[in-house]
Amino acid sequence: MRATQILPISRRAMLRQTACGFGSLGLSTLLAEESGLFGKTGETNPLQARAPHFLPRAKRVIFLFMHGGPSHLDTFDPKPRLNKDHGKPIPFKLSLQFAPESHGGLMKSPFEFKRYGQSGIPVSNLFENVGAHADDLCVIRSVVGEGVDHGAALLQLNTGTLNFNRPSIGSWLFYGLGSENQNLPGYIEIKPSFYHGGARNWHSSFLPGIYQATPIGNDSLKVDDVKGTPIEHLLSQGITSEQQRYELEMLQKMNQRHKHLSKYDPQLEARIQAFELAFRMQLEAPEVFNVEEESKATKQLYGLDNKVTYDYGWQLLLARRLVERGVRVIRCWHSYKWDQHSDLARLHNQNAQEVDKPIAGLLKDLKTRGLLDETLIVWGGEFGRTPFAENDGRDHNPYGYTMWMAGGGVTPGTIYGATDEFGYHAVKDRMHIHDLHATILHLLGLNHKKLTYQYGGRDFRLTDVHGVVAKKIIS
Amino acid sequence: MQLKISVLLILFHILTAPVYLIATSFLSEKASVIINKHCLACHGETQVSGLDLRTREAALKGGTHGPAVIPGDAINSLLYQAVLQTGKLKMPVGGALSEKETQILHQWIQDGFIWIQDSEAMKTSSWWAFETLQQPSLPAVKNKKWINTPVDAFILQKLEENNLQPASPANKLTLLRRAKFDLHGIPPSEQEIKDFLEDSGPNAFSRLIDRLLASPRYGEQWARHWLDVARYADSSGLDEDVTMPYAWRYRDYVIETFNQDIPYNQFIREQIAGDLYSSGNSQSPNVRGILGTGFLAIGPRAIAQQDKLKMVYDFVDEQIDTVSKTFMGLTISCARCHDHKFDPISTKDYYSLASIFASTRSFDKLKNGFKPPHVSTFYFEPLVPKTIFEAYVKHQDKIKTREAAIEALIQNGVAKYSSKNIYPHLGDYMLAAHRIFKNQNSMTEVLSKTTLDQKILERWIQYLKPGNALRPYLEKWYNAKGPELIQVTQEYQDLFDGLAKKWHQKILIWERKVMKALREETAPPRKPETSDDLIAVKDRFFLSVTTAPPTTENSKSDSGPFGILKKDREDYLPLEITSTIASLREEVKHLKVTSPPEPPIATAVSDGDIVDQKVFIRGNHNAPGETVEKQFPVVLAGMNQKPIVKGSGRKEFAEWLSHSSNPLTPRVMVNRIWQWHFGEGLVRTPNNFGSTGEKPTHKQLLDFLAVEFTKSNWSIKSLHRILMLSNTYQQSSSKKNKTMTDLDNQLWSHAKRRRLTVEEIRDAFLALDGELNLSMGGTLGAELLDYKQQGPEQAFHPNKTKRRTIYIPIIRNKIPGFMKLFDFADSSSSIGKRDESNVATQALYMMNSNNVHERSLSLARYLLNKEKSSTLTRIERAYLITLTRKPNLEEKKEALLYLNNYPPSVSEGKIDSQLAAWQSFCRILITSNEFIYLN
Repeated sequence: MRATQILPISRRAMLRQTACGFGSLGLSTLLAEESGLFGKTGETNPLQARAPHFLPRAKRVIFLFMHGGPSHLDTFDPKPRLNKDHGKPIPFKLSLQFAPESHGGLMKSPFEFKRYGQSGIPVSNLFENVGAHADDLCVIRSVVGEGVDHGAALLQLNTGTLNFNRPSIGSWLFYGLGSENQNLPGYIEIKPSFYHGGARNWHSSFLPGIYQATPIGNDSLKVDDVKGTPIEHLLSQGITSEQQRYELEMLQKMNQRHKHLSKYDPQLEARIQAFELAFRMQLEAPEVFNVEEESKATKQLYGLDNKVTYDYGWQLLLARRLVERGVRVIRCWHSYKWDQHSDLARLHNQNAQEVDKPIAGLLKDLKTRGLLDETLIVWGGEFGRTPFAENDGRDHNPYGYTMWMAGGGVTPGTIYGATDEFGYHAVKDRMHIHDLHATILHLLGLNHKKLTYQYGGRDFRLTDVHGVVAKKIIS
Repeated sequence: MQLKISVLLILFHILTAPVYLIATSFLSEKASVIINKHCLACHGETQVSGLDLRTREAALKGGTHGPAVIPGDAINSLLYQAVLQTGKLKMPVGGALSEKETQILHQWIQDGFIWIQDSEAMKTSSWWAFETLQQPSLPAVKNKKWINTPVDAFILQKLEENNLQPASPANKLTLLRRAKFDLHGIPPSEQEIKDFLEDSGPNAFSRLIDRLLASPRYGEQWARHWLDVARYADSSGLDEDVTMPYAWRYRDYVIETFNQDIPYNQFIREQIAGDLYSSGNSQSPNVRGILGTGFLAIGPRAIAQQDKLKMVYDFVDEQIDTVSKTFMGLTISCARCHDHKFDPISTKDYYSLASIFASTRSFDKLKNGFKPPHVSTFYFEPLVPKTIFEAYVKHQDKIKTREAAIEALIQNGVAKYSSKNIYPHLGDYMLAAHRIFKNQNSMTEVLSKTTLDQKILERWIQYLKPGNALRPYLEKWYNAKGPELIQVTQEYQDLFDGLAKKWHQKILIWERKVMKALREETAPPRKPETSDDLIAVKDRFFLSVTTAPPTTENSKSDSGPFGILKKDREDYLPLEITSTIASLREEVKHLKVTSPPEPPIATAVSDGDIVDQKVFIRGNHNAPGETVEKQFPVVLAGMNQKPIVKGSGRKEFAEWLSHSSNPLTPRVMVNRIWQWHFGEGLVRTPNNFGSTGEKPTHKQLLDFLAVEFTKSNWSIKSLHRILMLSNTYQQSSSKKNKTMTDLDNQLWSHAKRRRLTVEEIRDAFLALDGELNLSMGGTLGAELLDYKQQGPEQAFHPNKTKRRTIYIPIIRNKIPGFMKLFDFADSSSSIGKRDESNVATQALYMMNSNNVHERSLSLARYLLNKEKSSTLTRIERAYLITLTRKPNLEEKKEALLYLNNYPPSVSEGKIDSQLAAWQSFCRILITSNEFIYLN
């Protein structure tokens, strides 16, 4: 079922071979890109790369999404006060909580922190490998959201709103910047979750549908189930490539004739072009997903040689292959694992083991290849966790938690913002989700106030009427 | 009130607002909110010091102190100086503006002091959509013989005004295909083609329409249009996306409504307040009415929100949004936080309606002042008399109580056995394990000195061996040195025994309660959960040691050495308990057999606690303002309404909405029906008849049809006839006017070519060879979904069924990829018009999807199976079935050549080469532009 019929011929050879047959690919690509026949006529190709508002620091972004809410207090935001007051009653007033009835007293971290690199950024032993890259990180300890439950928090993180239907940040970026590669989707979600908002978290809402993400598998599948057919309908069904070319030539001939009989109708021409593009995607995409062809050393770097790290490592290695080919927005889901209301020590440890090495591998690999400067990495969950216990875990805490960024124009080796001495609320340089969005857009060369779309009678933007760019974190 | 309204009016946007305003609209919006809030009380109508801040012009003119604003120069503008409060003039009187507000005003003045609109107030009653409905007379036209129904007169008049001619009539088969897809959503069958071609009488098309309208396929196709508007789905969407297991009954109700041509005003009343109308029989509920209220209940809702009051008002907002768009073509929910920016709807209007819906019950278990369960549940209404429903519930409780009794007996028995025979050896196991993994003693040697069970010991080694899992509660034990170990182990034994006893106590209490329920035939008490009050790290030790090993590979659950698998539990019970369990199981079995069937239940609403609604300032439910009456938007219903004082007011609202004198209701619906026939509405923003929507291209025609609609007892089928029998409808899709004057077909100078909808594509593929399963109604939930009341659904594949697409369950966050791909209305809010996208991923679907592959293979077999016919005949038939026409000579030759020269397959034996060639040819036909685009 895989592209066996295609593989014997290289893509370049295929392009040459088909140059006089189906579609005359070279020419038609030019035509399509110049006349923009993908949507309505008159507009330019909506997927084409576009100039941002100003000089961007990053060209692409990879989100490393830790679905469930990893504890900042056990990873990147140590709180000695909790060690001191472990078990004591909660000394502060509670904000709205998800499960207030099962709260215990303050809870120290079961993990140990160590300072890394020249920057001396403290990282817990959950992330020893990431810690080794501390001098590349910009740790933001003051992220603030409003969603107390996962659904609301995910929607806000992804769309800016807690409970309305709005485009995702990935779709906004794709809409604002277009794609550098017309043969691949411009926005890809790797193993996303159907839970907590599901497709709402990566869809395009009222933006044109072409800006929605292309999902690859989902979080209930293993990588081995996904890698055979990463994008739906990408590979032909039991027919040879010769048969398919023969068929498509006839189809396009009939479509051309129908178009001429129907007089001028742009949508008919657009559909003819859509088939041409589909054929090109079919040629290019299988090669991209062939992670196997990477060297043994690279695979080891991402942990593909270990059962525990294999899954996330594959996702991240694929992400690197995609950014190399100009895909604009990629997110790698570690889902849905980080929600430790109880048994936090054992399960956070287990989760971190799955991602720590692959993430360090990605950072190193991008740096070696000179891609880190123009690729923004964003790590984090939908919220952090409370300084007090719920059972032997922690409850949700959107009031002050940690995300980190690397590459793409952020100041490396820094800590931005702070939570209070318990780690409950952000108190310094608060970075509301709207500010986070504004900052990410800024790094990619977009002014969040100018990136608007008119819908239902008014202009919409990702940050609504909010959002301040955190200039301090930009190098 | 009077003052308030006039103040509002100045903020309305008008259609003629210049484009440049849009770029700064955010700023202008924010600024106008500030002016509205802080200034207009004195500088509105009352004009203190002669200053009027209601328009840009008036502000520039200023008052006794001179011009209030110099655009572009905030520092020297009086208004800005006053709000800074650094000079003599300090405004507003009530206290300084916030820093942010001051900044906004500064920016606003710097940027040119641009107003959202700065012309005269919109005279509300003269807004075209609010005008009283009157039926206009037919306009005069030159080419009278083109007039077939009144529609044509209005269309032709405008064409003639623009020196255009209508397109020529479509040919007979094109018309058949168009009408068939329009009314049934599938292509005409060979028999239908034959019948229609043979009917050469003058009214053949009229007879065709009658036939099509009488078929139940019609209701399925047109219900789908309505379901887009009603944002129909089978799950709650948003955060938890829980299945609504009875929502499908609303869908079936809509299908029935169209098939039976239920008057539209009745349809409205049922959907807003059907539960409040009597069935006419005091014994039985008003089934259609209750089902209709599903309209209010099926919207997306975020049920895990912990601020439950906010959750309720978010859902009220969703209901107001859907109701106002659906029936009134207005975006009233814009007025939740501030007066509507563009339309004459105030927050008071909004909260007057909110009062009605907040007094309506949509959630279950939300009494006691909205005390939460973490995740809320929906309100359901049985569709049978109360006595029958209660008898059913009671019977189910009997089953549940017995099942609980069985579980309690097992858990108690296992706890008893364990605390006697297993738990006392915990310390011995820990020490033995320690000797093996730490001191490297051999298993045989250790076992020879004890009576421990080898399997359990092995699990202890696995459990305790450092590095396998992080267990902070074992820290003390790991740290114990030398002789300390025995003593620390004893501490762990004591700790464990204490916790085991505590847990056993809970089980015992539960068992006692269950047995009491069993004797008294009541519902079972809640089962204790280990998470109930076992808090703190030390309890984890007991929980984790007694956790049964996971049964699936992917489970993250712990594996404790004393855990017993569910299936093995009964091995530990004494005989008298197992025999009690056996007889309880017999009873359960019997009760299940004798259970009355589950009565039909509807996802619905009912009247709840009547709310005394207040305006929520800036939409914040924690900031109540003045109280509002239950009434309807003032701009439509007037200033002197009698407020509703009894009940929720839904019934009164339904009556008002569905009254023929309501200027919006018939206009909005007639426009929808026009759009669903012609591809675009007479108003091209079907959910927005307000000032940001488009104006009608043919206002007279819209009004004519709206009045006609109410006069015909709101019959939708009658309206179909008026529209479809018009020559306007029967035009060809090819443009006659080469000048392209009517580029966007605003004048309907030709028929609009449209892409088939996703339902039409899927149903047509199945219908071609007769494989489409035409059974109606019911739910495919059991077949396609893993039906659970709570928790997310697994993704499913729609092609597991051959039923019509309308019957495929819609799980909001998991809409099947192929449906999204072809622009399915995503059901997150009312959709008046679907997108019609055209992208490469759709082409990939056509080229490579399993579904297209299978359908083309099936069609190829169907064509080849038909006894002995020549290839040419088969080609003709293939064209007829797929494209509703015969191929011409050139096409026949081309097809023949194609089939004969089809390249060979690599792997032999799958399907023969003839079938492979035909499959390919069929795929071409069904994925061609001619198939996918309807002329």
